[in-house]
Amino acid sequence: MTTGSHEDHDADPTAPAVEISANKLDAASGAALFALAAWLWHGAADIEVASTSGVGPAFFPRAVAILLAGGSLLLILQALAPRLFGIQPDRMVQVQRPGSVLAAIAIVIVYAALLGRLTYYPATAMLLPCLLWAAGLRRPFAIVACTFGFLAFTKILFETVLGTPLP
Amino acid sequence: MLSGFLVALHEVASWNVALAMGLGMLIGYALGSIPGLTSSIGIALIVPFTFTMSPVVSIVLLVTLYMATEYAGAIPAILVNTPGVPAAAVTALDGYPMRLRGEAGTALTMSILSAAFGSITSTLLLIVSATYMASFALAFGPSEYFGLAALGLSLVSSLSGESMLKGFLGLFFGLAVGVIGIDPLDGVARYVFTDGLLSGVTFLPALIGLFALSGVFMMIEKSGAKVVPLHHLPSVSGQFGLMRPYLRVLARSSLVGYLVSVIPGHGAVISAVVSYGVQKRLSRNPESFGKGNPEGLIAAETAANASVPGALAPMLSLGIPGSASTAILIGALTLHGVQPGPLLFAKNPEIPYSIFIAMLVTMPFMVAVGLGGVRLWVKVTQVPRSIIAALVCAMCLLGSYASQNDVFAIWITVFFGIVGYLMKKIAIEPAPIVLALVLGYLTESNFRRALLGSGGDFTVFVTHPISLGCLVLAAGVLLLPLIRMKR
Repeated sequence: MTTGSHEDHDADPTAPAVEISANKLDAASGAALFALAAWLWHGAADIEVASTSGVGPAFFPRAVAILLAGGSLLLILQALAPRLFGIQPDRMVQVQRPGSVLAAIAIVIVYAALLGRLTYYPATAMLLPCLLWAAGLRRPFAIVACTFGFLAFTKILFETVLGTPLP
Repeated sequence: MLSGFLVALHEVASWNVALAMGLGMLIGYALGSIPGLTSSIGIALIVPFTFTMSPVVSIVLLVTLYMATEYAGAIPAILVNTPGVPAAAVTALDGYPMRLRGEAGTALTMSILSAAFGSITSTLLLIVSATYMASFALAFGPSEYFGLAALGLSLVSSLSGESMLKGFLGLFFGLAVGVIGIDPLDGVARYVFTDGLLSGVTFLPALIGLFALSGVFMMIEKSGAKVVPLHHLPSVSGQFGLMRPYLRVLARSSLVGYLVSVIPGHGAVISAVVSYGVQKRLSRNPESFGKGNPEGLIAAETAANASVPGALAPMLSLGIPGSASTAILIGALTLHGVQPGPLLFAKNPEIPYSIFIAMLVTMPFMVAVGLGGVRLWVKVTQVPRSIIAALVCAMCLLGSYASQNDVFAIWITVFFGIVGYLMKKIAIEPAPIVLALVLGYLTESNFRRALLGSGGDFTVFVTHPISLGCLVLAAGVLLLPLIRMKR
């Protein structure tokens, strides 16, 4: 049983999209996870051994590093030589509206950086219109209404109901 | 058990709890109606706003939200063939063809009544089994807990997504993230490269990132898709007589849903799929499944909703999450200083028994709101995705900040949001990562405690029958798919 038909329902065939080979993505993510495993293993050497149980605080990270390294190597191998593992030919992974997704990621990073400096209300008043635009909303009135509505809602929720000060 | 119920009744009989039930129900309905927002996302988003509440009010709100979200996903599944939550995809197989035949009202009525039946039956099973499991688990020591945690990890990894290897990688990634911070026994700092990580990767901001923010990025990908307009809103009614011919299906699906979801890692989707498959096999008209057979709709919807109490059983009695949503609930309780597990029933009986009462009391209201509010929930499905994505994103960042009162929490959310999105693209689901974050601590601390108690003797794990049994089962779970692959 698949739910493919429902996922297709969500897809917008007219939206710009990029396609990336699943095997290449797997190989790249395998390499990234292997790097994480190497970092774990290397960092374990700096952990002070103070335990009397014979299994100190460095044991578990080392064990996880070995498992992660083994798994990521297997993923890389699977991606580079799929036939060896009896895996179907390469398929493509689609990223729809890649520009919008990248813009949304950039906006949240900028927001996190600005929040401490600008404080909540100005930072959010800048973030939300940009985010709504990046998400595809093109009606100025709706953008302004959503932004001010959200700010008013959070002011009431945090400052009046929850008594939590916002940054 | 009776004393537990009395303690909980005293706590539950307040306006705050009633308000929390109502609020949880309404938020759950709204979230579940919107495709792309699952119960995990909903709970992760709401947890930061429950800090100022008492633990009972907080958990009642979150559990009611969990129940309502799981049901509400059926509404867009039936009406516009777009499941609000993943399990509702199975409901749509027969629900949407029923709507095309002009039986939308009947399908919606059947789905809410099935959900109610599944939920209530499963809650009764939960009350009996969780208290029994907890009293049994009271005798557990570190080696037994290690065995249980290892079994939980093995089940989770083997059940995730399209590839077993990727499930494991998600699990190992979660375990790797979990070792950051102060170690559980010796208090030694590990991998702390910035002061913000001294107490480890804070659970809630990471969860919000993995589930909610990554979901926002996925939503933005599809935000250009046109919302399916619905011009003719169906009228529904509480015709309980509709269900009379399907009492056996209801009972069977409730049992299947509960039993499947008690196994950690088996959530609503697997329960619904298994129940649908069983019903199809037993049906006199299997060929009509997928073409609008009410039996299919009832089997899927009953089991999906029965899975909510089922997933709560290992969480409440053993402290092991049964699903991603219950992993977040564990995090929420921990933030209130309450540790789920066998001692929960002795130390904080008001928590599990309040959950039981809330689940039983809320259901009739959920039926009423579900039947009476269909027009409203349909309107929710018509809100443009772009607006939902942006508002959910802003709530993610704000909720993350509110959970810690620290901007560093937002950085954690952003990091895990991006990681979660990338992992979804390579078919690594966030659920194993979150479950590893919970079970990793349990695994390591009990592994080391057991060795400390045995003077470093590793046989401690095989000389205790329960831990041996769990480890053998874990090995079986890991090896079985490999044996099948070889065949």
